Amino acid sequence: MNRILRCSSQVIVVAAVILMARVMPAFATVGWLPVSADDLALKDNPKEPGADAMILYREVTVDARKANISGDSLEEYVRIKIFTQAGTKYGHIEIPYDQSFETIPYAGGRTILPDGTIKDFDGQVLNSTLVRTGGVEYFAKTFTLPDVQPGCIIEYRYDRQARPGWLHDEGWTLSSNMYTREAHFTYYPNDIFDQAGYHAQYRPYLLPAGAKMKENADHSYAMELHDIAAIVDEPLMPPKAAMEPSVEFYYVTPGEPDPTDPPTKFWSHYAKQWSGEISHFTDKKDALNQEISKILSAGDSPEMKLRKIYARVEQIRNLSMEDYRTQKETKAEDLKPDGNVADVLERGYATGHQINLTFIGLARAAGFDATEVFVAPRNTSLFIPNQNDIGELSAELVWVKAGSQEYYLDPSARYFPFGVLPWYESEAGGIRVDGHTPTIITTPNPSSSQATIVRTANLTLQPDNSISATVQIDFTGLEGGMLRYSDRKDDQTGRTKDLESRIKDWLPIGSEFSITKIDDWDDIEKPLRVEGTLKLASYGSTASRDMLLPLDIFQATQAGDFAEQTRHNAVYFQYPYQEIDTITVNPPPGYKIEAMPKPQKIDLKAAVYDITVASQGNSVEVNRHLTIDGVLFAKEAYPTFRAFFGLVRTNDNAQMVLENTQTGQLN
Amino acid sequence: MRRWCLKTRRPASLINRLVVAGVAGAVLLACGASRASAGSSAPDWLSVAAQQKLPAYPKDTKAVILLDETAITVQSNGDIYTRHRAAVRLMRPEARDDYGGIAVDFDKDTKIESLNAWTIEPDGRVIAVGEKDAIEHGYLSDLEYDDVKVKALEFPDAYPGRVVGFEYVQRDRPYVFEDDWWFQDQSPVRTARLILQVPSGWEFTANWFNHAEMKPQTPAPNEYVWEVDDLPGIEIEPQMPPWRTVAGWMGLKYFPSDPALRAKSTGSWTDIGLWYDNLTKSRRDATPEIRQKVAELTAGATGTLQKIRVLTDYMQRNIRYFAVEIGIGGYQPHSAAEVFARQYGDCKDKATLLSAMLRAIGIESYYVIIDTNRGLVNSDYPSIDFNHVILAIRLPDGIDDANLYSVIDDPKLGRLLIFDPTNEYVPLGYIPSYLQDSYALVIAPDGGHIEKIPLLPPSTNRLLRTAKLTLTPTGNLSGEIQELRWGAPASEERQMFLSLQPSKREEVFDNFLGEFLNSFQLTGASLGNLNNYGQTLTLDYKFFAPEYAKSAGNLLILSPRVVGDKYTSDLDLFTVNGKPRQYAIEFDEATLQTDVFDITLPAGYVPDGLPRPVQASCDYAMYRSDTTIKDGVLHYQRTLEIKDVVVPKDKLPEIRAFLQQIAADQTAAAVLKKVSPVAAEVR
Repeated sequence: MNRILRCSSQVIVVAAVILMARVMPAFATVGWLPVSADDLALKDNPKEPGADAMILYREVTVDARKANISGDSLEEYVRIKIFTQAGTKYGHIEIPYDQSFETIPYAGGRTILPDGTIKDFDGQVLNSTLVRTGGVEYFAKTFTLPDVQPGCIIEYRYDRQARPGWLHDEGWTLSSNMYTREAHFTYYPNDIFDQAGYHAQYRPYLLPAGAKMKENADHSYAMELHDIAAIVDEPLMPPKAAMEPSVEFYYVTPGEPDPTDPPTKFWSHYAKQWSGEISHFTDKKDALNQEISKILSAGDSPEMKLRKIYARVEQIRNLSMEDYRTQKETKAEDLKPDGNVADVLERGYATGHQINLTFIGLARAAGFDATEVFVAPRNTSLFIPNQNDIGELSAELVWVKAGSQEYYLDPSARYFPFGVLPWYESEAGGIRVDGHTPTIITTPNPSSSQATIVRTANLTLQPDNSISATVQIDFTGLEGGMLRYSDRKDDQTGRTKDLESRIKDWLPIGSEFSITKIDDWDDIEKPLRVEGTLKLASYGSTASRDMLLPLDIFQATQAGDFAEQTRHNAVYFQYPYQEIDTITVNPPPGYKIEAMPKPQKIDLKAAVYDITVASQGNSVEVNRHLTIDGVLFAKEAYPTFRAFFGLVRTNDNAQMVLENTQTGQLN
Repeated sequence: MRRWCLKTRRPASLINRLVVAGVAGAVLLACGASRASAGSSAPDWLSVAAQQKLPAYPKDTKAVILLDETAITVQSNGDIYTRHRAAVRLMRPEARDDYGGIAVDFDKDTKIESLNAWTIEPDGRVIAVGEKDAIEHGYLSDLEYDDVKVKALEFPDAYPGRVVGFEYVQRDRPYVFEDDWWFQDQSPVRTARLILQVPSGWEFTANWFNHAEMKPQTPAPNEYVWEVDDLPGIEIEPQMPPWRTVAGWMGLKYFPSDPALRAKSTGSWTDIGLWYDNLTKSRRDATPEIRQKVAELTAGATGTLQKIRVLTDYMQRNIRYFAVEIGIGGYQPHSAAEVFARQYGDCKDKATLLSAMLRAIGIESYYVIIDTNRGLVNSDYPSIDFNHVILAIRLPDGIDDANLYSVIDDPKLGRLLIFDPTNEYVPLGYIPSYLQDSYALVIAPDGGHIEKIPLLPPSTNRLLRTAKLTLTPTGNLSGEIQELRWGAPASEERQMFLSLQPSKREEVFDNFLGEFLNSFQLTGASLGNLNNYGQTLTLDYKFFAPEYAKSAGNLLILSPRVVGDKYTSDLDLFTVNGKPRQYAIEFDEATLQTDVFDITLPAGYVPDGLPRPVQASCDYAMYRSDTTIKDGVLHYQRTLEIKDVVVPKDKLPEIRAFLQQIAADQTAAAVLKKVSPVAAEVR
């Protein structure tokens, strides 16, 4: 949890800092800016063609000067050029707000038609209920601008006013789902906080090139930006949180670590605190030693010992993996808070954090050097050590050393085998708590061999082109872990349904696939094995006396992610992986192999594919191996991957020709 | 009752009210709110329902509805109080998603008087939650604003083995006196009960649908009780007919003794027509501004039909769809003046403004209320259960309707040209496919006329794709494809292209080719008549596909069907969750589609095998294809005709076999063999 006084919608300003109120001049009402003929004539965004609309101008002003008296205020003014029919949806404006701490004193807008005619919004601003329950009241002010059509310009503005003593999230989100041509951001800090010792600071994230913070004589901060790219949703794109430029403002609390300190000093404060928490929770030597004596044997190798400890803590009921419980539900189940490892081991349930601490305690009791690690999970954030932002470190795992071998493990993730981290915790930056010393680390890169899907199919072909087959699929390592995690709340019927649906996505249209067996669901150290039967009324095709079959019955679904010709974002595979297929085809009696495609291999280093086909007596065996070995690739690599998966699809569908030796000549 | 605009929410079975677990759970989690009280007791009706012994159900049964009871009390002033209570046994984890809570819609006319819920634990303990634990939210959308809100409660500890139950009372001040009792669900129902109390002197009718009629018990004067037991669950299937046409329900209509309230009774289509005609009176008056705009738009138009076309075109392209529906606004349009001033509106608003504009040129038109779900409106059961409003334009004598496929004849009103101003791409003379083959109510001053909107013939929805292609000895394929489209295939494509900037339109061709070709380069693309909705839409595109034909030894193998799919993705509809499909399948429209592909072959290659000709037909469709080689050109031609759009369950095997033949034809390959020049000459 962040210990800095970070301003948020739920943080009320403490009374102690409401010292000297100073009356500040009210904002002058922002009028509409003049509209240029060039903007009216604009048909598309010349710098990023093809969008439905673009933001011509945006201005955001956050004023916290009067927060002590009247709450802070936020004013936003947005001017948008509409290019297409689809873009007219931006003519409907929704301004969500939390009525318990803010109001929207003004909202309005207007439409400027392509010929320059201005149509003011003169209707009613309506109020919609978003959520209302026990003191929480989220509403939205909504209004629809008149006569919005392609070619027009719309603009609107609104004011947000926090209730006295409240602050909004003090920051600027610089980008939008539309391209922004020009944007101005201003922040007026609360100088009364400053006098009370709470100094305003800011942290920039992923600022566009050329963006500079200007600190004005009146202590306000300002930034002017041009040509901010839209964040476009695409398959296999990096996590949005790692792409969105923003600026965060915060106030440093006296006595707390100052993010403007050198990182070593800043992180040392937390390392000391975390180290103390570990020691406090694990300070039950008797209970730990007793447990160690039960689970370890004298002849165990160091890794074996760690595996046994890992397996032991995985048996603890992980409350963090279960649904949210109300206080009454918790009470009804008589769940007590665990104060230390002895409680955990005795009661058999714990939160994920406590399970990790229990692992650390047991590992230390067994003589290992073990500690806690906090990382920025790749799916939500980036770790930038010099930013001194503790909020980035939202995931935790454990580090343990056996001899010269280091291990990063996450027992709290519950469904992942020893040595395999959830993908978002691999190759992730963070802080390791080495006593009172913070060590900046990056967790190991994931390996493709830790996430494999091994598919085996034995196909029996009938003269009418129908097939029946047995199929076996092993999901190993990360692949098994991810499935076990996502289906953890299902029963056998639900898991079967989900797995059948996933596997059907790999098979040709019209396939009937039924699972006959799921093995090792509960043994996370083993691959998750699925067996099933497949029936398909028509597979491949016939041409006179020939029967033509594609080599691989499993379809390369990745090609769908590369369907679009153009690309806006980098290519981001969550983790490296491998697909290993072995297909045995048993032709109908009387058929022999007339022709087989040649072996194919494509080696791009980061993406490797090979496929071979060989006859084995009366049958044919196809072996295919696809490896993706990397996570993040520049946008420029997109065409290469697109071509790669196109070739994969081509070669998967290359056809073997079976000739019917029992029929006559050509038709 | 549903409101009349395209984006309405459906009422229906219990499950639709029991879906809040995700939403409410997330909100409650975020708010940290919970005031559930443990140690409470369950009401008797719930305890009794929970104790019943259940028969064996299939292992994938998520939940069993033990009791679903609705008690309707009609008061003499027309107010209706409904008490709804239900008890559900949760059988599997997935039940938490579907039956994890209760959500009730309300607005100022449908006030929730009370709301309570309980969970009975396996050990008999009871956890109760009440209205103070509920969350309230509205519906937000880019396309509408309405004042309907939802009150939702999450059942505590809703896991397998528990029995959950709820009870709420709602007061309704209905616009019309009709009610629906939905007694079937996606899960099996043990007992469903309706208790009706009407004031003395009131009458009612009860009509049963998708279930045999049952007679009520009368335990007291003016009190009627119906009960149905052991109803099977209805599993949702993709592309199945509307819920209303498959699930059991009963329609109730009340007829008050007070003549002042009689206008709210909908005993006949005429009644509904009069009610709506009265509701929309004066809405279609043309203001001077509207008249001026009409004059401006029609100034260059010659003839009445051309003037009508100009106005319908204006309505489709200039008036943005956005619904503002408050109270009766779910049914009553805004005035033409308001819609014109704001230049936006929902379906009934657009119909209203168009009607006013047509009046300005002397053309009469009528509201048509209809549903976008084919088959939902039952012509034998007058009801206001529609979700869309379009317009019937009365054609004056002398207008040739030969190319106007959407004309129907009304015995009283004459020739009516049906037009949907909300659909931005279906031109005058056509009807959107989702409105065809359905009943609709034409609102005339003398009341409502129920009319069948026809299914347009296949020839009105045409796709003709021709290709001139060349194959090289290395298997590279290049050439040009032209598509001619009209009717639905044109509207669908126009919608796709017009929603994009011109600079992005090439990507549509690219993505289309990418569905069929593993590797290719688009070398040219153009569109014709994109903005002329009344004209044939043309698509021309050129491409180069390296190694389209695969080499295998001295063979060259290629699929003559280079691009295009004819409904084979529907093959996945016949098995749902590992079980045979139970309900009819619907095609979007009747259509006639033809592909004619000529592929010039490389010299020195002769056929070693060609796909067999296909002649497939069933009651609903016809398909034929043929592949020949003549003068070094492979000629592939196929035709698909969909003649009828609803395939009932008993005909599913037939249509499946039909689609399998198409699928086999689409993947069929031609095998070419390289021969020496001498051998080639001999052949």
